[in-house]
Amino acid sequence: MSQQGILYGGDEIGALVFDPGHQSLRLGFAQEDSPKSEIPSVVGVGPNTSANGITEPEIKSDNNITPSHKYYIDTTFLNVPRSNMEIKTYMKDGMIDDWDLFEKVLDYAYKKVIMSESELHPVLFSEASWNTRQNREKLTELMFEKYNVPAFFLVKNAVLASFANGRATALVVDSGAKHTSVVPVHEGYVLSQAVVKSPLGGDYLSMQCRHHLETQGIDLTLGYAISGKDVVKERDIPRYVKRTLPENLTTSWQNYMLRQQLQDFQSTVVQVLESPYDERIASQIPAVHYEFPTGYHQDFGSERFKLAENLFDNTMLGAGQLASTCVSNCDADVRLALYGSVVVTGGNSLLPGFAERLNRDLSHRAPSNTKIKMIVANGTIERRFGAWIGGSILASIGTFQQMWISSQEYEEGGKSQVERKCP
Amino acid sequence: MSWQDYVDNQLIASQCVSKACISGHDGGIWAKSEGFEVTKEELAKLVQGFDKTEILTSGGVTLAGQRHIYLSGTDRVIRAKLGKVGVHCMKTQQAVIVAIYEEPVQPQQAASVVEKLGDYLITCGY
Repeated sequence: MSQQGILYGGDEIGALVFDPGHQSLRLGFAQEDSPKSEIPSVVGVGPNTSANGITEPEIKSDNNITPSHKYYIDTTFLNVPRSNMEIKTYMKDGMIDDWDLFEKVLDYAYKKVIMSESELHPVLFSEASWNTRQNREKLTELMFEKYNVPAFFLVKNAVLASFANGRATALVVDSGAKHTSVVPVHEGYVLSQAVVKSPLGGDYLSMQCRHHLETQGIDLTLGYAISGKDVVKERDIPRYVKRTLPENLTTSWQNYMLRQQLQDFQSTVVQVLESPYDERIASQIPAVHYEFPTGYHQDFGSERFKLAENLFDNTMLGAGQLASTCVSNCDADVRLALYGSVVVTGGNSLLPGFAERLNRDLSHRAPSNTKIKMIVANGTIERRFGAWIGGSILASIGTFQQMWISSQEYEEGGKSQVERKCP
Repeated sequence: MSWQDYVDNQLIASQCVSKACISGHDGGIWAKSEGFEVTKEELAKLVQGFDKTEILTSGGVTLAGQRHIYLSGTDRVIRAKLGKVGVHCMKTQQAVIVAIYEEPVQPQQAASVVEKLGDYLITCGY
């Protein structure tokens, strides 16, 4: 193992695991059972006028003087109402798109979360199962050239999620913020031609909720804008006092804050019926009470099942349909094994009834007599951080230590080493 | 070096590859290791699969009568697997290198051996 030139004493590996997604960047140390930190995948960009924030030094040279911006990263900085702070995301389509912003987040991560030099820790990154070669090489280059990591590796997040659930072969259904994707993993390798994804994820559901609440005429003023409120009776118009806020709060920031509120509503109220939506069945299930930041509160009955229905009943993009399309694109020999091991992961899959409905939809679409087995972790941590946990497990295994791309190999082979070493 | 030398001294000798063969784009075998009974038809189909992956995704990669499951690939590389046996193929300008490896060899090891030879052949014009 010392052929890699990395010195480590016994169990002390000290590798870092990064799992970027649309909701957040999960990061932490390998061998731990949950990430140390979850940094939202957005960065606040504001003009460089006031205090607090990370300043970009002005380039005082004879040519272009780039206007400096202040960057606000992580929840404590993002959730504060600030004038002219735009919210930008560095993720696009499941992959890292804005590299400058991502670098800022990584700098913050090393400084404030890991609190250690990047040269000391091997880094394991997760990636989307459809990640492009260009992106992989760019990330490899960034980690070795800028952060001088001693070793690096890239693994598809579907593979990590299936490892976290104890499987090397599985059909991974990952329902996250931006996408729901179905990825077949065979013996630890993704069958890349069969990967299918749809944009119907947590964010889509939040939009549905927003639309529904707005058509109902419910006031969606958020906590940061309210300085005091009265207790009102159910369905009464709320009475509250508005707080004076800094001027020029950007639309992107207000939408970002609203999204958080909608996610809270979604996770409390929305539920999925085990069979396609039926008004009679839905009305028999007890309603859920919810109170909004304004003080307005009401019961939500059958409409809360209707909201999630689009995730399943869409003819092409419904979760059950995605899964069966995926399996049919695979080699006939593996199909049975895939149906026998369906791993459900991702934060959006925590919707009550999601896994049961998926099971039903799949059994209706699979050839008859196929035994379908769903592997659904019970805890919220195991599903939201499935890929991260898989990375933590992988980076701690003895046999994995010879597979890292070391800085020496990077120097010899260049960034195309990643295509070779990280299948 | 003769083609057989390439197979024996570069691929098999690395100990990362258990069986190998080098053939032309038409499937015609230039050299192969002992006991590797791959046919011209299997190789020809493999070569077509570099450009049209649909042939391989549904039907798998058949070599020496064994049908392996296609994992991934590009227009230069094909990876396949069946149980403990893995396949790594690389297409050069005029040839195709096919390598079979078994546990405990890691796919990355077989990949580097095959691709190093492949890159070298490309620089020679093959």
